[in-house]
Amino acid sequence: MKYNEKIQKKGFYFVLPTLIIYGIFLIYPMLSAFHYSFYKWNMISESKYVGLKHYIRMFGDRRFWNSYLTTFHFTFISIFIIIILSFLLALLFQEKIMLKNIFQSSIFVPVILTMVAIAVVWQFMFQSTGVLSNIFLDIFGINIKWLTSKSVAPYSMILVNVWKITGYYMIIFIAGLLNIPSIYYEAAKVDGTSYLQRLFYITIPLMKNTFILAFVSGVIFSFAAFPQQYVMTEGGPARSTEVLALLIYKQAFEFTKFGYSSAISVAFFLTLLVFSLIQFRIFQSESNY
Amino acid sequence: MVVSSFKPTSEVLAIPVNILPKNWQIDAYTNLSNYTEYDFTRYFINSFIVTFFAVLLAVILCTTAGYGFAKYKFKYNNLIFIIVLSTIMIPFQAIVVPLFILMKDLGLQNSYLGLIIPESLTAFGVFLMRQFFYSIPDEIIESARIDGASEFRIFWTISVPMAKTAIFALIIFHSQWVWNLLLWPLIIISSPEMRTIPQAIALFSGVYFTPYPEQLAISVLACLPLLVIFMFLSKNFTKGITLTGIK
Amino acid sequence: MKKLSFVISLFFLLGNISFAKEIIRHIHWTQPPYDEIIMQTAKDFMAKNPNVEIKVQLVADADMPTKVRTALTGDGVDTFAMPNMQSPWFMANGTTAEIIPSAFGKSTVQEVVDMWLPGAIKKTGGFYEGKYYGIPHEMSNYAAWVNTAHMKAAGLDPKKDIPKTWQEFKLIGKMLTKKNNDVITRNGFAINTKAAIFPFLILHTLMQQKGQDWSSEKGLHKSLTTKGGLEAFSTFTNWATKDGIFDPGLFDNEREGFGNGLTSQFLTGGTWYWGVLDGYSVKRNEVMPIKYPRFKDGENIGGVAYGYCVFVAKQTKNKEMAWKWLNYLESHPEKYIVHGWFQPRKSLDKTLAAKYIPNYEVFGEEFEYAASIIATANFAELQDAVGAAVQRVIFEGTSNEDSLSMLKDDVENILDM
Repeated sequence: MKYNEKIQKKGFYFVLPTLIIYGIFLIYPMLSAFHYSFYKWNMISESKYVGLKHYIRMFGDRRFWNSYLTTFHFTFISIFIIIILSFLLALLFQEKIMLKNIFQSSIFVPVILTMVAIAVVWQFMFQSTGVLSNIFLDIFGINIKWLTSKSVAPYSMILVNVWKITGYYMIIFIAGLLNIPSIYYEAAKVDGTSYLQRLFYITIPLMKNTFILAFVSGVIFSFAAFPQQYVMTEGGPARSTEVLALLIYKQAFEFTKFGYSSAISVAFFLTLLVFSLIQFRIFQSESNY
Repeated sequence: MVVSSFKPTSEVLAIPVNILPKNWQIDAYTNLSNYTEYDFTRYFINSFIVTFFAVLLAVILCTTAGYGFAKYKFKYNNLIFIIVLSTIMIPFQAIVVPLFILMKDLGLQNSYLGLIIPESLTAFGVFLMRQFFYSIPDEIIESARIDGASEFRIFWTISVPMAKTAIFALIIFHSQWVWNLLLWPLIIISSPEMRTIPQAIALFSGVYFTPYPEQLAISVLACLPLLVIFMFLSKNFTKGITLTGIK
Repeated sequence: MKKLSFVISLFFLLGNISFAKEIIRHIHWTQPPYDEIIMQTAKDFMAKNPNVEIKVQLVADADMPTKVRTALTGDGVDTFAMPNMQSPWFMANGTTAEIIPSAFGKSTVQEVVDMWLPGAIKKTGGFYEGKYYGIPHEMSNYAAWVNTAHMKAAGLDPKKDIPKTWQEFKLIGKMLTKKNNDVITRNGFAINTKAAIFPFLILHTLMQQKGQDWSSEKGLHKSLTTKGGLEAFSTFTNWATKDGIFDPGLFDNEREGFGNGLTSQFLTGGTWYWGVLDGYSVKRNEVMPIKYPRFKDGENIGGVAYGYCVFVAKQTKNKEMAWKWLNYLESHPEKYIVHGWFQPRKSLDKTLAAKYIPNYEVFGEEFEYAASIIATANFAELQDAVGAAVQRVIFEGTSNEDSLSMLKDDVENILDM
């Protein structure tokens, strides 16, 4: 129907402003960074064309692969925990609980804290004579080397990440839950369904779009996380927490190897692009109802 | 929950010691006014201005784009969405320098616009709004069209109100992000009067020692506005949205 | 009418000339309380030179190189401070301008250099490949610091039992380390293992004491395969791994740890540390700076000397005025010495140093034997590689030999060998 096509085309105009502004201020710099990945540049002097040299170096760079794997490990474990935890919390807050607002806020507070405050608080917690260590010593009898053990440190970072952004995703899930018309629940209750039945047959299916959002954006953001690593461990001990975003930062701003840093950024980008495309393939976002 | 006990206030009010401090002092807060070279009020104002406009612009761009992607089947819809979404797949550090050079060429360095425009960009926001607009029934929109409403009118009077919770979520997230942003303002701002709060906090990190109490004091103060916004908006999270059914 | 318009345009012209101020944009790191001194000095200079406006930008130390680099790209800086670890990069990449003697009222560069203590500009990072680009803002050298109260409590005599060799240092560390079951509650020695610069600076001294030449890239590379290099490296890592005097998990920052009484010794404090200590619970009369211990048959080298210089950017339009400003900035060493901050300007009254810096003679003597830190544009990467080598041994259990071998590979990559 011609009329309908015309209407559908109008959708483009809704997207246009964003496309233009993002094009100038994001896409263009991205292309620029991509361009620099073929050059040797330290931000000051003339750039020198080096072709695929950075990419070849990257594939053989032990440090790069360590960073890549560390980032995957950090991201997927974080997201797995965060999504389950934040969804459960969102469900919890749908019920009437005492002091709901205070609880909600205290879970959300970590999201808005500045990195400085977070670092100081967690450093107190993680010190060998700190709060967490004392608790573990009393209960389990072992002293955990939170930030000074190569095997434990990545989990400490995951812990801080979960603490910091669960509140974020809880909000998303709450918003999603609120969008489900209560009519459905009422009808189901009348039919005599149990809570769990309603959860699995109504809530979760209708939350599909929200889950996709949480999962895809969660992975993208955690993949790019680095403030806590930068402030709390600087990538150590022994590079066990050196995530890609931190490596990219170091290469560009500490070593002034902007070209190499851009090459790593391209690898980073392609990884996330492939991931997103796979996600959209598997879980096509749909219009509901 | 354990979370509540992490309030930095208790650490702030004391001399930095290893164990949870026993001395509570408000010296840190009063000392802040002794730093006459740092105009903290001005930095708060800067942060407010930048955050307000960046979030406003973000909401405008994200809701319109998200709606367009979700509710219309135009050519290359999916492709354009992937392109927009791809902008969060590259770490910000990678584009900071090219963006800086671009801003310099546009004459926007050390300006409010130079802060606001880049800080309003959030493909995540576009994604968020798109997902939420999906859940608005097409029938409602169709019937409004039959009634003769223009696309924009439908958007503004029907769809946007229905996506209220998502918009509030976006406001919360984005204002938190902009408010705490350090790297970009650090690079683009060169005069002290234009500083934002995170830069002010970083100023306390001296090369030989850091006066932690004061730094944490300002961090706590910095968190308060966000907390207020959150508490204000989260009231809306307890109200449900009831669809009144199709006319 | 013509006359009137002529007068008006003349008025505007003159008005513009007097309003056209010369702007000098200066970037400096922030460290309370010195920030106020800098800002005040800028104000004083502007009062003396009404046609100049100094815009000072204070930035956190860690962000300095990034800030200056992006400012240089955007043509947004005229003068800046930089530590000697970072300054070679700026000098090597042609971003700095040479000293202009006339701005100092001198006729040759050497005369300007002579306004400071011999070797000061080199040690503070203002000299590169034969040319002088910077003048010193601060010069420091590290001493070893010991908590004499801890020593007394352990039955040691703070006068006789001061460690003079690394062997004694380790033994005293063992005696002063406190444990609760297996957890160390007070370190006998501590160092920040997170930030690579600190192990690097201590290793620098240890290596030089073992006869290695860490003041050059070639020398550093060579040291990684010598017996002396291995001994220096192992001495350092053993403090954490074998000697049981150092748990990196107790706290990060050894200057804070020492001030809180949580470590009995540390090796990264300069004259300025007295002022820092005042902010913590340990008192001045409970500690003492001493000369760096030596190896029994090693070279007589003390703790590293390092510093900060101020530079003029090559892009600056009026370089002479910029140097005038910097000369003025660096002409008030007496204001800084009060806080224990030493500027190596000859005009500084020597007695002030002794007055405001307790045990100043220790620093002064050690300075004679301090070696200059390597001046290379690759410093950031080399430092990072050395830090990683140390961390491999301490946190990954790698052997010293293996770690040094990997470090050698890293260094060769960095230096394109």
